[in-house]
Amino acid sequence: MTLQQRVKQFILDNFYLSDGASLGDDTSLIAEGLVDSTGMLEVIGFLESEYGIAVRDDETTPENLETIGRIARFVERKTRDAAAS
Amino acid sequence: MGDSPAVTGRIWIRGGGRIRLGDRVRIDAGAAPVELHAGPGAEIVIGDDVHISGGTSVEAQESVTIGDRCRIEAFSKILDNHFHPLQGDRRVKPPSAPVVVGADTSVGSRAIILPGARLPPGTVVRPGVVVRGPASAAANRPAEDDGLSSERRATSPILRALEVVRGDPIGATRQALAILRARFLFRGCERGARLYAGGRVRVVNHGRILIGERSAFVGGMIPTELICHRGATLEVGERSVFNYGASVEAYGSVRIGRRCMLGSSVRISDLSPQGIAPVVILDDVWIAHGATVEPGVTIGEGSVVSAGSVVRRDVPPRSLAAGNPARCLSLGLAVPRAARTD
Repeated sequence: MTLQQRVKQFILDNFYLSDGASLGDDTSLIAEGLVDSTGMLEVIGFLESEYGIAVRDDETTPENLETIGRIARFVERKTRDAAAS
Repeated sequence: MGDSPAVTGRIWIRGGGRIRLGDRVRIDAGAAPVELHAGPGAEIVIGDDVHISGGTSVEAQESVTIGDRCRIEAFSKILDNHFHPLQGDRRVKPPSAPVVVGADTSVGSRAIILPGARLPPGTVVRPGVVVRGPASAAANRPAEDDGLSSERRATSPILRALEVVRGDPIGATRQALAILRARFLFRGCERGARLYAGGRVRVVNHGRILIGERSAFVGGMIPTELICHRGATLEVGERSVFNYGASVEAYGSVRIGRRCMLGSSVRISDLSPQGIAPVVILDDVWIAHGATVEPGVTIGEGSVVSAGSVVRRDVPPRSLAAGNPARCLSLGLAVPRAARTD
């Protein structure tokens, strides 16, 4: 399963979504009301435990986490940085 | 009202709405008052054989229903409105989301039931737990434009504190009294003009307390307190608002910025078992009901601390801090884009 698929699966398993098919890599989780603020904290907790990364407070931005695509790119970058250091 | 209610102690019943009590409701406000606040047109329905302990506050702007045989423990809070939006003009009240507490539910002490929450019958809410409504509930919705002019908005309860009320002699008298009361209460402090004290405030000043102009202390069932120990500084910027029961204590230095809002029963202190560590709350911060800010913490400009949270480390600017210990999230991720003003 790709990173995108795993994140999508987590969101489908944990949040009320009437239609899973409408959740694309570029769907805004926030603007579409799929995930609220506490839900976003759950997503961050999932990423940290699943991928062994630590998300800093200043990284919790829409640029990093607003869509599944952005989340995947963010996690890839974090794991690459962790491996490099 | 139903048959044979039993009340010990004081109940605060406020607002212009309706409160319906079932049979044999017991309210034990012996240790601390209980607040039942139904705003204009709103309704609080309390079922048969419900028990409510002291310090608890039930606030309805639209509808709060508590089912039969529920037990609501001490200092818990049930409310159907967040009262302020996460972003934009925080003085504009967001829409309400009714709360339903199912029959036979027990709500532990200091638990907080937020707007939109629907607890199925027989739920057990552990002490200190925060229950929120579904994602689409009031929290994340932008405030509705109610079409009122800013003058009309100024007559909402908190803002009455800050603006001159015209053509409302009772409001104006109350305001004049609150301003006089503030002058008396803060007489030993370095204070700006037009402070407002709508209720009891306990001020203990052995150090230096500075309060900026037009800051307001809203009255309620528990007094607000400002305690400044010898050699310490407690500073509050202009136009900040303290709800009832908020408690700020400085042993070294506590600084609260301009236009901040402290919710009811918020606690801020700079003394820990490890010693004194200054607390800094920057401008435009909203700390919601029952949250605790621990010593040494700095909260960045424009940030929001959600109800019942315990903040142990710094909060960046324009973030939402939630949980115990609190985690932070950029407000940009907490508010749908449509609701943002920036």
